[in-house]
Order: sequence, then C-alpha cells, then structure tokens
Amino acid sequence: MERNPPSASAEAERAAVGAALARLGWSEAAPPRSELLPLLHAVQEEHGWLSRGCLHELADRMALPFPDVWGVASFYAMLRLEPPPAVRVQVCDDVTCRLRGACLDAMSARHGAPSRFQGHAYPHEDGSAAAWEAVPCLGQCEHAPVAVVEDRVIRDATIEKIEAAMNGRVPPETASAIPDPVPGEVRRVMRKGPSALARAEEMGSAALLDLVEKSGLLGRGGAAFPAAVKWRAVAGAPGEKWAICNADESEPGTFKDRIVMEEYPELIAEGLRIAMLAVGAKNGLVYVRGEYEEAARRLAATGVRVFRGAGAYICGEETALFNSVEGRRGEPRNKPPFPTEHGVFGRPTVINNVETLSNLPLLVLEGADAFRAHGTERSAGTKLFAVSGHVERPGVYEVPFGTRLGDLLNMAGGVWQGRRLQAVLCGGVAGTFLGPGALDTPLAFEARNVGSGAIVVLDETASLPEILARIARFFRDESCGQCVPCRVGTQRQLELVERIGSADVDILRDLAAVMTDASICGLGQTAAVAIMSALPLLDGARGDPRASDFDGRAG
Amino acid sequence: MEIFVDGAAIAADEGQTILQALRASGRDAPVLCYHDNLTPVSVCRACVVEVEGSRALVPSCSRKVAPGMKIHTDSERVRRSRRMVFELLASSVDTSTAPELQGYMAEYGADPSRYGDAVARVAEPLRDDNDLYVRDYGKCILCYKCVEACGPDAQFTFALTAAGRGFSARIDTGADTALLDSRCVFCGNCVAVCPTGALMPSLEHRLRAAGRWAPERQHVTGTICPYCGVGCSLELHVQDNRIFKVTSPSDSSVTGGHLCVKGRFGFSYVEGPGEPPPA
Repeated sequence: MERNPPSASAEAERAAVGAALARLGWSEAAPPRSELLPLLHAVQEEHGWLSRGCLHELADRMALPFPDVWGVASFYAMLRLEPPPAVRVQVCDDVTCRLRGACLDAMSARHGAPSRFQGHAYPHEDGSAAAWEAVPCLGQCEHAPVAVVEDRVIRDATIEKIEAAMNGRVPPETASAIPDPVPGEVRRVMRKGPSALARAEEMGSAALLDLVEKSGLLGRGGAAFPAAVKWRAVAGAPGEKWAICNADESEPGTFKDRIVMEEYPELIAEGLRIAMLAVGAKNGLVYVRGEYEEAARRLAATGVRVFRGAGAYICGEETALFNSVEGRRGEPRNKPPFPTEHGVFGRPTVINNVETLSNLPLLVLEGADAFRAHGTERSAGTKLFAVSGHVERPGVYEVPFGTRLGDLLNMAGGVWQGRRLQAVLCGGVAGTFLGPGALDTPLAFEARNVGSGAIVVLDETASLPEILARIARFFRDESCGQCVPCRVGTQRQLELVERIGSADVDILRDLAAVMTDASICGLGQTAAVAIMSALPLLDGARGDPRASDFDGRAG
Repeated sequence: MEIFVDGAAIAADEGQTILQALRASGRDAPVLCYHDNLTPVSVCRACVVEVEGSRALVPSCSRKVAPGMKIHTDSERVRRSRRMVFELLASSVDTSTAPELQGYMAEYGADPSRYGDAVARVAEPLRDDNDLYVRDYGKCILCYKCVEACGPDAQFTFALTAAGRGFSARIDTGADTALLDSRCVFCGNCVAVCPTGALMPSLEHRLRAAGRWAPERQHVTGTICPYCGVGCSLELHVQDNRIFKVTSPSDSSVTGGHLCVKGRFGFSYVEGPGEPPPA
C-alpha cells in the first residue's frame, strides 16, 4: 500500500495522539480500524479538537490512509475539525425546545448567528468560530428548552442561565429522579427488580428462544420487528456471533432510552446478556448516542462494553451502526444481506433497541403469559412513551399497549396553560401528526402510531409550518449523503416546506413517494411521512385529498 | 432458473444480479454508479426495479435473482423514481459533460426546473492543481466510482474518500489536500470511471475551455502500451492529430479498463514536433 505523504504534525499534536493511544491501551501495536472512533474521541479530549496534524499522526499510528480518517472524522457532528470557541455553547433548536420557548432569538441578538453542523467537509481553521451552536434534539426534552455549556446540561434554559454558565457560574441542577407513577401508568420495565440472569442461564438458549417467541415481543426501536425472528435466525447461524444494544436514540422528542440507561442501566446489561445467551453470541456491546455522556457512564459502571457514537442520527440505522463500530463512515448498507446473516464485522448479529432488551429480565422472571397479560393481542406488554412539548408534565410514561392517546396526554397533565390542542406528533419525526379528533386512538403497533415512542404536543399557538420546516431540516442535516433520493431529496423537501403555503403540493407528494420508494434506508424512506401527514392540518391544504392519503408505505 | 420480467419468462443463473439477467436477455436499466469492473454500491438508485413482494423498489445492480422472481422494469413507480433521480441530480450539479445522464433525462422526460430557481446546488471551484487532470466537483454526482477505483477495486492507493455528509458530502483527498501533496499516484483510473466529467484529463478540459472541443474531428486508435511487458490495451483519443486522452477498454482481459500513470498520461513522446498541446 502507498504511504501517507509526510505530514507536518507539531509536537503537541503528536503528544496528544500518543496520550490518546496510551489511554486506550495501544502504546505499542497499531490499533485495528474498529478503534478509530474511540480514538478520535480520545484525541479530541486530549487536544480539544481534531487538527489536521492530529489526524495525520493518528492515521500514521493506525496504519490507515489519511483520507479514510478524514472521511470518518468529517461525518460526525461531535468531532470538531476546527478550533472550538473558548466556551462551547450548544442550544437545542429542535421541535420540543422550540415549542417550549428556546431562547434562539435572544441568543442571536446578543451573541450573533449560530454555527450549525451541516456535514461541512471544508471547515475554516482561522479560529473564527461562532460563539454558539444551534444543535438538533439533545434527548433531554422533559427539561426543554435545554442547552449545553461545555459538558454541562442546562435545563429549562433561559438566556440568563446560559450566559451565567458561559461566565463560569453554573446554575444548580434540578433533581432528575423519575417521578412516582401517575394513575394509569403500569411500571413493569421501569423498576428495580431482582436479577434474571441466573434463571436465564438455567433456561439456556432453546428455552429462551421459545419464551421470546411465545411472548410476542416486538422491537421497540420503531420498526416493531418480532424479536424472536431475529434471534432464531442468529441462533441458527454458524460461527462467531454478535449481540448489540442499539442505544443511539437521536430522534427529536425521543428520550425514553436515555431515562432507562440513566436510571435502570442494569436492565440493559442483563437484557444484552440474555440475548447473548439465547443466540450464542460471545461478543456484545451497547452503542450509545455520543451526546448521552451520563448514560454511557452509568452503563459502563455495570461492566457492559460501551461504544460511543459521535453525533449522527443515521447511526441508529442498524447497518450504519455496524459501519460506525467498524471505524467506517456511518453509511447504511444495502440489504440484503441482513444483519442476522452479515452484521457487524460480517458476523451474524442480533441488534435490539434499549427498551426491547430492557423487557427481557421481567419476561424471564415472570414468563410469557404474565407478559402478554398487558397490551393488545398484536402488541404485547407495556410501552415507554416520551411525552413532551405543550403538556404540563413532560416525561416518560409507561403504559400498556392499547392505551388511548388522550389518556396518555392526561397522565402528562394535559395541554399546558389551559390551552387547546392543535396537533400531536405521534411516533417521532418519522411518525405522523394527528389532529384533536384522534385522541381516542389506541396506541399500538397495529395502529401504526407508536414509532420511536415520542409524543410531541402542539397547542393552538404553535406554528405548524415552523415545526415542519425544522423537521425537514433535521432530515436534510442527518442524511448520510449516500443515495440520491435522500441526499438531494431531503434538501429539496426542505426548500419546498420552507415555502409551504405557496409550494406545489404535487411536487412535495411526488418527492415523498420517491424518497419512500427508492432510498437505501429508513431515514430517507420515512423523511416525508410526518410532513405529508401534517398537510391536511394546515389551513392552506385543509381538505386537500391529494395530501391526506399518504401513509409512508410504498406503492 | 426462471424469472419474470414485465410478464415475460426469462432464464437467469444462480448468483446473477437482476441487472445481469436483464442484460443477458437483451434488456437493460439505466445506471450511473454501476460499473462492470467495480463492486456495486447501489447509491444512485437509477437502476431500481419493482420486485413483487418487496415493499420498496430494489437496485437491480446488486440484488440477486431468485427463482420465480416477478420484476417490473417499466411500471409507473419505477419510471417515477428513475425520472426523479435524474431530476434531483440535474437540479443540483452541472450535467454538461455527462452524456449518459443527459440521455436518461431525455428518455424519462426529466424536468429539473420543476423545483424552481431558488434551489441549493453543489457549488465548488474548479480544482486545477496539477498537469494531468482537473477536478470539478460541481459536476460530481457522488457515485463513489472514483473512490472504488482508487481503493480496493483496482488501484489500492486509497487517495480518495467521501467526506462530510448529506447534501454537503463531497469526494475529497482528505482535508482538501492538493493532489500533488496527497496519496495520489496519477494512474487516472478515477478519471476513467467518472460518469460526469467531474474528473477530466487536463488536455480535454483545456480544449473545452478554449472553445476548441470538436468531436467531429476526433477519432480513437487502438494500440498496446509500449512501456513494460504487461501489454495493456490502449485507446488513444485524438483530435487534430494530437492525443488528448488515453483509455483502456473496460472489457480488456489485461487491464479491465485500468492503467498506470505511464500508460494513461505518458504519451507526449509519441507526438513529434509540431503545435504544442493546448495550454
């Protein structure tokens, strides 16, 4: 292989890389490529940012081509390719924080326009970084609006609180303990219970597979795929296998997995261990969203192997996650082959969401019948919903499947300030907007309204076009850029939604159909669903039959 | 095995892709990121077809055939997606030197102007930083062929990567390093596989920029590379008795279309005294 051209790494840069390598145990041998993302994190912690010199030195020490290292480093929003400002300020400008009064205008007025990660390949190195960044959802929506100053999360953020933190005066944090269950909640997953590991080991693989099949457990990440089907496929596959917990929760308004990781990390560690036992996997890890530092710390304390993401929603797509773990750009793979056959490192891999795995300990302890005693025929068990936006008590609520949407909103205290309901974004930004007439809808996978488990409430004062534009921008910003329908389609969708009053609905609809039909992965395939579902709720398009029958399914 | 294409039964072999089966039966699909000698990446989505039982459309360049598979290559769904892929590309990059893409646009009635004037385009300066080839990423459709040809599918030089992400993703030498300071060995295999002229030999670029590009005065002469004992097949592209580009047939059993820097760019000695090449 050709060598990298001689680089001009300064002494400080070589020292930072050396310290990062030593910290991760690679002082002598060249690390494998799968150490690239952990090492990029470590180098950034040592040097403050990833300078060209640092990246050249890291490429040489890892015996990787420099362009490969650059390609990976430039993919992730948390990895900084330019020097950061003296104090790093991130203000969430996503759906929930906007609804709860994020101080975006005040920040702009006092500190200038924000910078924003848009997949910049060629950032400037002249130190002219903006004083603050506008960032997508930080997954702290129960405390919205939120900001992060350096590594400190500011809840219920106001301009005064943010500026106090910028000046080094950190406000005291409010307690984050889970509140007691409200009437109607059924806490089955979210509780501390006895360990199920001994029982699972006693049962062994075959009995565990039967149990999961009998329980009817469906994946809680959004796709509602039967866990038993994945598990059996991997259990029956030859050779070395992997089990992965997908904790890359990044969809705006979604924070249920963060709560489980922070409050009940042992559930996840046990769930993963049970999955490994059932499928015969020797290797397991939890891929945790990069911004979830506290969650990663608490998970690591249980002894489970934690792999940190670095700011890319797309890495929650399972095959993009595998590439990320392998030290490649987080671009989804074409399927087939499916993960059960060709997963991480090309090995058969079972990958489940945090909440899915967190159901396993109680399932093992109580059995399938007790599990099925809650929920509906086709959606067994309970579900965690992250309720945020214009409600009195935002938070995570655990309810049986089949619970009415209106009842869930009542648990969260109903629409705040006595206002009237305009719409509910049900299932996250890849979900659907429902109008006030939908409060009787039961929440269940068969009703196609569960999605990521995010429920965002908009009162009568909310600007729906503004929220739709923010959703469109989220998909544009988070597209990996690989396939044409998503890379260019999400950009065009944003442009059309920004002038939604006058835009041609036929083009929007055509675009939605093609992104759904022809994109490689679920990001592009669902990037138009919420927007199309909202068109009938907009004044200009009310009653437009062309918009109302789009349900996100191909065809 | 037997598969069904637009209602007709055709024979296909185990392990074949749908595209291979289509071509073997005298049919075809539009392709931009596909190349016979590169691993399919299936990113352009121009070749998508409808397979009964599959929720979304599938890329025919990489999906393997299965017995009894029912495929539709000309349904409204297929035409709509293909048409929009061409529209999206043409609305965002300069397609003036992309004849295949232009042909597909005409065939599918693509209208890139339907998104209006106020649309973001890929804005990149011409990168003209060496004597052999130029890079104009304002024409790049991110087909990844250059990355593959530079990497494990041909050259094993690894001088190129995709960088950034989303609409801002670009092909990059790493931190936008000038080619002479990068890992590039100037084999030009990236230039040979580029479908849009985003990568172009400098001589061709200068002819075009000077308004002297004249396809009617061009011809191609086949020969064998004289440099070493491998014996690579060469095609000399000539205008007004001056070579402006050297390629190798992609079906050549010796080269698979790939060459080294000498075969690709080391031809000036052929040309005796006379008018110097356009500068």
